[in-house]
Amino acid sequence: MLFNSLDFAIFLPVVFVIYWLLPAKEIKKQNLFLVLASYTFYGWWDWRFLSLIFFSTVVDYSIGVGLSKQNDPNIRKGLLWLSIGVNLGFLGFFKYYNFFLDNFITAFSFFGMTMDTRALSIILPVGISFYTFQTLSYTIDVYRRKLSPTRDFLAFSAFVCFFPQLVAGPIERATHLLPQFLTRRTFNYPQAVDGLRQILWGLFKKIVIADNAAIVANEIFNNSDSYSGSTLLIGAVFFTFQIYGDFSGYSDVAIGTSRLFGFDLKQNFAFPYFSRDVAEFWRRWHISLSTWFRDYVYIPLGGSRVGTWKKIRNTFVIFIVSGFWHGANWTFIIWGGLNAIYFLPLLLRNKNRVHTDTVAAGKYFPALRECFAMLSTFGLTVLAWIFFRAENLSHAVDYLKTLFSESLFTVPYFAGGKEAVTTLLFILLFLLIEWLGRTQKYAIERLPGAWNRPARWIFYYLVALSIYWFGGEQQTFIYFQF
Amino acid sequence: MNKFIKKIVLFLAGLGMLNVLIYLSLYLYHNRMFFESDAIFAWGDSQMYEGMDLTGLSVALDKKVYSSAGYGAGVYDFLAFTERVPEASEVVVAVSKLMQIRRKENDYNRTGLSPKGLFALWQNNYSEREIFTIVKKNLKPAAYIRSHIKLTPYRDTMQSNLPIAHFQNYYQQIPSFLTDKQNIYLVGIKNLIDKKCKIIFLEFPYHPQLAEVENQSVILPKTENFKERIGSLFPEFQTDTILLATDKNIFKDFSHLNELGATLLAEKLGQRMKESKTTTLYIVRPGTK
Repeated sequence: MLFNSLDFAIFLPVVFVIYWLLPAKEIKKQNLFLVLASYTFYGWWDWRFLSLIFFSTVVDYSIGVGLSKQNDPNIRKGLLWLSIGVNLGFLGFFKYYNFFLDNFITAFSFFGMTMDTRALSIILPVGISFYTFQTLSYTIDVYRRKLSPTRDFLAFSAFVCFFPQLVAGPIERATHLLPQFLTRRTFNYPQAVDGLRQILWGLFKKIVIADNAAIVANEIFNNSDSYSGSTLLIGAVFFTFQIYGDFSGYSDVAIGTSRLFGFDLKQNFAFPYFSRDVAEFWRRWHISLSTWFRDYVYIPLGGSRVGTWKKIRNTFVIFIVSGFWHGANWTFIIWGGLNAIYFLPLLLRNKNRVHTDTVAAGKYFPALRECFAMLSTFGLTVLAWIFFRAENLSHAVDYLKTLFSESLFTVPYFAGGKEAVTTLLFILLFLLIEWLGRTQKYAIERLPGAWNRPARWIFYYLVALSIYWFGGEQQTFIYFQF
Repeated sequence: MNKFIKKIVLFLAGLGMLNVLIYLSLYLYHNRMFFESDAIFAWGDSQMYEGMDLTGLSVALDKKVYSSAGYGAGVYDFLAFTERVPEASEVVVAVSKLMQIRRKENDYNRTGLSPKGLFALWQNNYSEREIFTIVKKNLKPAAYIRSHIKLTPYRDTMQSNLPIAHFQNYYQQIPSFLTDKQNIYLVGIKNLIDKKCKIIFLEFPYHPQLAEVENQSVILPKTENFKERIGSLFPEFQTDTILLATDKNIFKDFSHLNELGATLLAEKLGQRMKESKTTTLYIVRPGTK
């Protein structure tokens, strides 16, 4: 079920009303209802893969219980690897089997050998990368004794399949979300209003910004061989806004929906396009995934408190694995590698934590130096996104070749140019609102709060009307494919 | 909780009202031509869109001529059109054979919301899903009528993007929905009769190659019979032929006229309409001088 669909517009109010009609004292009933609602939400797409979620839930719950009973380090380690093996095994099979097979065949044929193998027609279960990482965080935290394993199977099931963040995150940590399923939840008016506001903003990002930017980006990327460098630059910039609007919009709707049910999810995006360097960008982009890799991959490898070569190795590992997590395609791996190359000079010069504050805090306008830093970071990001969006490596390389050709200095022209201008105006308005709200969890968290009620309602109406009247054609969320 | 729900309901009600207001304003802005009672209104699919020189017809009749024709226009578009034309106006309606046999999902179905039209579809075996799809397509108003259409410039020979096999495929067997579409079409004509409109029917010509395909098909008797069903709705009804007599090519492709054909047709139709008192179906055919 898509957040931007009529199905969800009916599903959400029905689930919301029934959920709050259940007595607050009976947490188990609330959790059971959330599990049923979440399975319905997921099954709407393909009910067959519900068994996969259920199996993953049973395995990690049992391993968690097993870890609590065991003190033998070898057995504990064995249990941990069992959990990792099962979870990554599923992920590997559904997501990467054909990729590895194709690459083995290519490698063998390079040495003049042939392999008689067949690619399988595998459907990638939506959200598998997200819930796999979420359950893995539980087992690892229990193994590390950071978290006491739960004995409440229903609460654990609800934690694994909680519908707002099941298919595209944010990837929640068990230490943060699981306790919320074990405590009493009562309806909180300000929290629910805040949730609705964040949903509204998320839908604006997705439907007005991302879906309209997608029309331009798709046209240019799909016909990149017939456009000039200047047009390709426009395509890359529009994709940059498409992916941000799409994914951060999804996260906003997920977080807002959770708040409607009394849950608090972690911030997943913190205005990344206002970053002054790539290190800051990665602290602000897909925060739940970046911190997951930091805590469960980077730090166990030694992080940055090792020698120079190991620092370089660890940086490449984390960025390449992060790229590979996005999809079984070399384009994602190169995208990750490119970001590692951007990041390394900062890390090696110990400049990776220079910008931990908000840019131009307390001011309306940034300094010229900050402008330059933001624009440079944005430019590097745009280039990296070309690999992310391209169909394959040769497409990306051809795209870049044309982009950096003489035609970069010609007047851009492409089908849908007039509509692109309207979209561009919306992007500029969106950037302005994001800039004004950049110290908050999401751009309009408190922005309209300072206004009186009529002004607030007019603002909400304008956002809602622009979603309806200027929304692009419905597109699925990009991160569903991951 | 109650306060929260009350506020949401209030917000949504306000939003609904604002949307209706914007919808109506945009509808009126784009379609104000529908309120001119002394004009001529033309409807049809791409055959009418490409095949009628609106300016030529306007000059011939000394009246404003507006067209609601469009590529792929289907029976729902016709129903919505019949609801919009003013009472007692003059209407030129194309009896398109391709529209009758075109698959339902390929119909344009974007002439705005018409509850009566949707109900007529439902009564004629359109599924709930098909109706819902049409509703979704019409949630935002657009310009359903225009006063000018850019015609396809003249060429010595016709050039079709679609091969003749495409049409052969269409004409191979009688589609299951043919009678449903024809019945809905008749509902639209009845709407126009109820509005006391003066109706002129037009059957656009096919290129000889396509006409040959049609002549050999099992569908022809059904579409011919449909013309008789249209005629039976009127106390007085006649069929007449308009011959587009020229040695030059009048076709854009297999089923559409080019600028020359459209201009010739407008001129001849204008003359006939001035003289005609009875409801007439004009069958347009190519010819030589």
